[in-house]
Amino acid sequence: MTIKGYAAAIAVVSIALAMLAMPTAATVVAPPTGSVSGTFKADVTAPSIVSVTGPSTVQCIPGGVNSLPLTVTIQDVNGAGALDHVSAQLYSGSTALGSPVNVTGGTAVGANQATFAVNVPFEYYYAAGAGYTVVLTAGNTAKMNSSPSTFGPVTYLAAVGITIDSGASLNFGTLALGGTSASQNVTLHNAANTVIQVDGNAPDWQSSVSNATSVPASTLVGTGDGAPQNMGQTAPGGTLINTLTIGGTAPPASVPIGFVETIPSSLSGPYTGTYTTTITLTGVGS
Amino acid sequence: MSKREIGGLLKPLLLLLLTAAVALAVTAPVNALGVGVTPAVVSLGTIGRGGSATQEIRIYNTDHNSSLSYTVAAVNANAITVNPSSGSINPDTNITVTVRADVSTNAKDGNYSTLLVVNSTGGSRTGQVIVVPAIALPVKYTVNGTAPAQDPVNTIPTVPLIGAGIIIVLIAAVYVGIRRLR
Repeated sequence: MTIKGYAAAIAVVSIALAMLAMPTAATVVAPPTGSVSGTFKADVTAPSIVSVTGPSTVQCIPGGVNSLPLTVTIQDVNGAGALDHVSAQLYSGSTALGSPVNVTGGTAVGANQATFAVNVPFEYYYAAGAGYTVVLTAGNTAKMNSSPSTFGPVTYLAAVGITIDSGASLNFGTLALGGTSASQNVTLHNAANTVIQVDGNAPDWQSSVSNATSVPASTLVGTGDGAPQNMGQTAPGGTLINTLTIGGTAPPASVPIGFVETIPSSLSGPYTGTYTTTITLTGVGS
Repeated sequence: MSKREIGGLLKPLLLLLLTAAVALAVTAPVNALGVGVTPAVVSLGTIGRGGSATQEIRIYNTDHNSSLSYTVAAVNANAITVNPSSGSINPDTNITVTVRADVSTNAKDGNYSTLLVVNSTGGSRTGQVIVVPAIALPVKYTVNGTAPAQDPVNTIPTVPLIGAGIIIVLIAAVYVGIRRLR
């Protein structure tokens, strides 16, 4: 037989085999009927959270971060060694705050349980109040997670704080009688978890020369988000910013206050030297 | 010197310059003066005339670099004192002070409130105008009735002593009586 003959034979056999493999109405097999009984044991199961304990309040640290310390007990039928991690997410109402905290390396308690120490961070700019909860899940080495468990409610205790971001030292240059300076900016932000207003005041300008007259602080005017205020008012002073808001979910933005000095056209005594004063910006809580 | 040799010498020099620039950027101090107070309200509760109450507050220095000098005082309120009323707080730390209300014996019933002001100073900064942060928070208390009188410290409990004395005398009398009858 020639090569062509062999090839033709192989082709014929291949077509025949393919036809046999194709399903036809005649080759459909009816599904088996009847029932199967017996028991089985799964190889892996999800862990479960047994308990979560911790305080019901957290104190705000102005300008910083505090932690809610939780002790989470979880269990797994596959043994304490199978328990891998605990994940915790802080919520204010339905809003997630920050990133989830993942903690590994629990301490075994008995054969099937372990405890995990979880510290949930509270940033200074989260709002004071009672509506905080922590949703926790546990995971094992088989990558299976528990059902979520909620801890709370947690109250975030109130604090007041203020931070001057820039303009802590100002310079108005050299001014003549009747002259007005360029505006000098101070920026500040709320450093805690309650809304405050910002008042400002200063003592009179004093000269570096001992016998020179002072310049009234009322000639120094600050402007925030409200009406301009002179700084010669009794402490805490006039209101420069009506509402210095908190950040909520992110650090609060800086808010500017502009200061302008206008030297009177006449002064009651000799005026000479370098004049200085101190502006106090007071965050007033309510 | 070939181009390759020159390039070999320049590479570490450039790396050194870049490292120096990064180091300068990282170590630059942040000029952010800040002060904070917890709690946000000082509530001293209900105090009787002639009585007193205290509450601790914490004052925070939120600056990472500089110490904060502070003074604390209540606005127009002789009844409120603070201890310590001044001091210095290290960067990123806090101190505890005690706020105390002493209600005079002739105070009237009612709700009282004032502001507690925490002032800071400019520290070592110099300039034409120093700007400093401060905090003012409410202080509240209620006067109701008269504070209960305190128990005298050295009072002798007379009634029990008299009773014990009578019993001892009676026992002695009975004993003497029995002896005489014998």
